Amino acid sequence: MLTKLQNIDKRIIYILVLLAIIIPLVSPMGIPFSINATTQAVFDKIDSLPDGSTIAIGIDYSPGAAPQIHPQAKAVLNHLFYSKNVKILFTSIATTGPMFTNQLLDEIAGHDKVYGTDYIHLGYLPGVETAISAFAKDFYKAFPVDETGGNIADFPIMKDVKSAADLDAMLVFTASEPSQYVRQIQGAYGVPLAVGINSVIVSTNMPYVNSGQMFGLMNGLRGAAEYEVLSERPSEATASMDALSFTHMIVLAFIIIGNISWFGTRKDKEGV
Amino acid sequence: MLGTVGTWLAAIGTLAMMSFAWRENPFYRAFEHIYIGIGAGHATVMGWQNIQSNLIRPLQVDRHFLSLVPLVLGLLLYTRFIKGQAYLSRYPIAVLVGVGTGLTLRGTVGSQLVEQVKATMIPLNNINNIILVLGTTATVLFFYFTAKKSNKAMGVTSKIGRYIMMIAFGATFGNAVMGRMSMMIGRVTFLLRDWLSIL
Repeated sequence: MLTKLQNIDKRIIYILVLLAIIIPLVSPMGIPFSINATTQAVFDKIDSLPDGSTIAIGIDYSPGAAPQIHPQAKAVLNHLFYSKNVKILFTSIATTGPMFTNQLLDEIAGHDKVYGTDYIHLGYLPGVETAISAFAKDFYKAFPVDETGGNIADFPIMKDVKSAADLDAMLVFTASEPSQYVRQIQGAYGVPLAVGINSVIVSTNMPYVNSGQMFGLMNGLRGAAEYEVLSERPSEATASMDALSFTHMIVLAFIIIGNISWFGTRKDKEGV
Repeated sequence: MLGTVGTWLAAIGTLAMMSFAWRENPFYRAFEHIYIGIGAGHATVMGWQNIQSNLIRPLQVDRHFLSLVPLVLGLLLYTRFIKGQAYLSRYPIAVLVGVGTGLTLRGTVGSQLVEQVKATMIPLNNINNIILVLGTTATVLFFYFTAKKSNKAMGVTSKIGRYIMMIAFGATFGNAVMGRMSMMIGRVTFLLRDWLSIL
């Protein structure tokens, strides 16, 4: 019996995980979840930005990470575009960044913000860390034209923005290496920095939050759901939390089953 | 109409990728190649747009002839495909490595060494701080190979460091599980909501 448990067909686990996702999505139960302090810190900082502040938002994720990070960016943008009066500069060091920026702007359409006055899409700059350093030093040299092909000097939003030193905060949505922004934006210019990242890199980035180099951090889909609740705009991430809880229960159940069967058959394997 | 075609293509692609969970099959393999091809094509277009805005435009509009320097360096990279001239590609690589290293080092010392060390110099007045300081110290000592592990104090400390790292790996694994499940939820949501209109 215990040996059989160790050899469960992995496809049975896949089917159970699939059911654990589909059933709560079709019939939501609204399992409550707590708000992490790191997400709360991101919300509090954004919510307290004075009118007229200028922030940069880096959209640096790829399609593979989008299910976790796209809802985070959407939740933050909904908060910024519908509840705040701040100027927003969109940047990207990922080739897929402009595509997701356009998609986000389409998804949050209906606000009264004006392109070029309240927000601007500066587009993609190759070079990864050198690109961050370049636009941090001089937006005009790094992005001579915006995503629409217009000279950025012609847009009112850029009138008082020359370099990263003119930013009041920066938020980066990425699945690669946020430490690049710690080095080139927060460290070099003292700009308050927060990140929205995929779950697997959260533990390696927590030291930056503990040291104060990042004022906050959003952890994957859960971080997005937390932000949606904080900004009182529950959406797709909040709706996914039941499914996330159920899949975790499946994983925990199989970890327990695996351990029981392993310890139960250990004596047989050791020949005792 | 285009949106509908796009949704159907994305749905078929998603099902093709998911079919790998059952077993490898031609349907999966075809879409794997399509995905890589689309990615490469998209990156090429983005690269060309960048050349237009950062090279062609400054040359044509601003008469900024210094932009020719990175152009020449960039073209030299391709000399590695020319027999006998491959050595020329080492010059742009040297520039890339030099700039990259210089840029990273500048930030690394301040942001990732000094600031992180400062962050562990905290008063031991609550349990979080005590765990943070002792955990960091023990983990660093685990990698201190000069002292012999036969030293009792070092042995105990490095063992604590090992357990602290195992806890950290456990946290990373937990987050990895959450991340992978989130991806699956994202695709299933797409299939149910955007494709089948069930949600």
